[in-house]
Amino acid sequence: MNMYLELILPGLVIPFGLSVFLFSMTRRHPVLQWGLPLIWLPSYIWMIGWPVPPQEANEWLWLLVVLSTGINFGLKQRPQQAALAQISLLGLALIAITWPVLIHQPGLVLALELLAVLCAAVIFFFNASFSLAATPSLALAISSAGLALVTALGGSVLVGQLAGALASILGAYALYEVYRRFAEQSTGVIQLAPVVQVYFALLLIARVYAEIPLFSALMLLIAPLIGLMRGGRYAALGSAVMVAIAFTWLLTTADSSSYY
Amino acid sequence: MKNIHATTAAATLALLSACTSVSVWAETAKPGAYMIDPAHTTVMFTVSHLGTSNLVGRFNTIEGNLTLDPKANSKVEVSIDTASVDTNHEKRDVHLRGPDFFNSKQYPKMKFTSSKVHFSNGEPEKIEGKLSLHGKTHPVTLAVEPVGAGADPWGGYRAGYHATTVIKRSDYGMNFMPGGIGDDIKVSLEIEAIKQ
Repeated sequence: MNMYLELILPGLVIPFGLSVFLFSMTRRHPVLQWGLPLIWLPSYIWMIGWPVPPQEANEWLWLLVVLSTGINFGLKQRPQQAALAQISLLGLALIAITWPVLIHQPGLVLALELLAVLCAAVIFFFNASFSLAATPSLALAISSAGLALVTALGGSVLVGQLAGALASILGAYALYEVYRRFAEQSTGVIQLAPVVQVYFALLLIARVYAEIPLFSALMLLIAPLIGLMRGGRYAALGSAVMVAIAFTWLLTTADSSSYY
Repeated sequence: MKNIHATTAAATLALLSACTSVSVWAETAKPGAYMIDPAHTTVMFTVSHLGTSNLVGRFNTIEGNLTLDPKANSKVEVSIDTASVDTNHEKRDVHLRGPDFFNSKQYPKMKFTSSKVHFSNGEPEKIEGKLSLHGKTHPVTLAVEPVGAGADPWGGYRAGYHATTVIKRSDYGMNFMPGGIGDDIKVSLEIEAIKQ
């Protein structure tokens, strides 16, 4: 298959197509919104396969999204318990993802990075049910697109593609929020929780394995929180600013020579 | 005049001594245990880029042991640091060390362990074994040509070999960008080993 199709089909075309399809379906059957994170799986399977048992960092992500979606739907009437369960799940996932580095090259920096992601997760999950974010899908799509760009240019095209697919599954929802002039959510923040899980996991993979710059990773950690937690019509703009800073930092510090 | 003759004779004698202390390196390597000399060993690989040219790279950190004896059990073990990949472009090397290719943080070493060494005229000709790379292990056969063997100027004994093989990176789970980067990887080793 053509190299460009290999990049664009699973990273953009297929997930965006599924996003449009699901968006149209959820207008008639709102319960389907809880399954939004699962439409990331076809792209994931295209790029990674269905690894059982998981061995590499990327190979835990399908399990994370499936379990997180199950928790999200099963405990939707019990937000506190759902938040605890999601944070516990993410903690286990992050340890599984970083296990090879934890045993071979343990260090304070890695521990702090794990802690930072967990803190962000705690902030998100315990506030998701009360969030007044006007455009959560747009904010998360912008953050994921930023993660995709920074990672693809910074050290891993594959992880960048996975993040790009994450942005694409939110495409139809994000466009709806733009169409409604940033005044109406296309989906609730809590329905996006599994997507946020995968986002955090991809960010850690990008930092630990693809070695994106620490400052860029920090901006990308804050980006979705601003857009998902803050009220106001233009909270997503805050996410965009963080992403722009992260990308600019990468460009100014990284080797710009091309080798593709 | 006598001094000139004496000086010339002494110089000639010294030169002859020096020549005989470094053997002509055409002998068959002595059987025994050898340790790979990393300073004189190179592992190179060649891979197709976009189907238009071949990219050459190397690994800079290698260690290993050889036990070579046509009449007894022989063994070859080589370990290479995947993070030492070097294609003369730092940004590309960072990418190669990352999750798209070698994933060096998770798989820091690749290892070859022989299962059988075939000899011809006292020298290894073919080495069968298993290569563990990127969390996967597959059988691999190295074609071997002896380069030379003999005593070195420091009292040791060395043997050198040229070995080649071809592997498929997809066999080892490195499937990224099959359209742009070839699947077949030609591996070439120039080994110098010191007798223990």
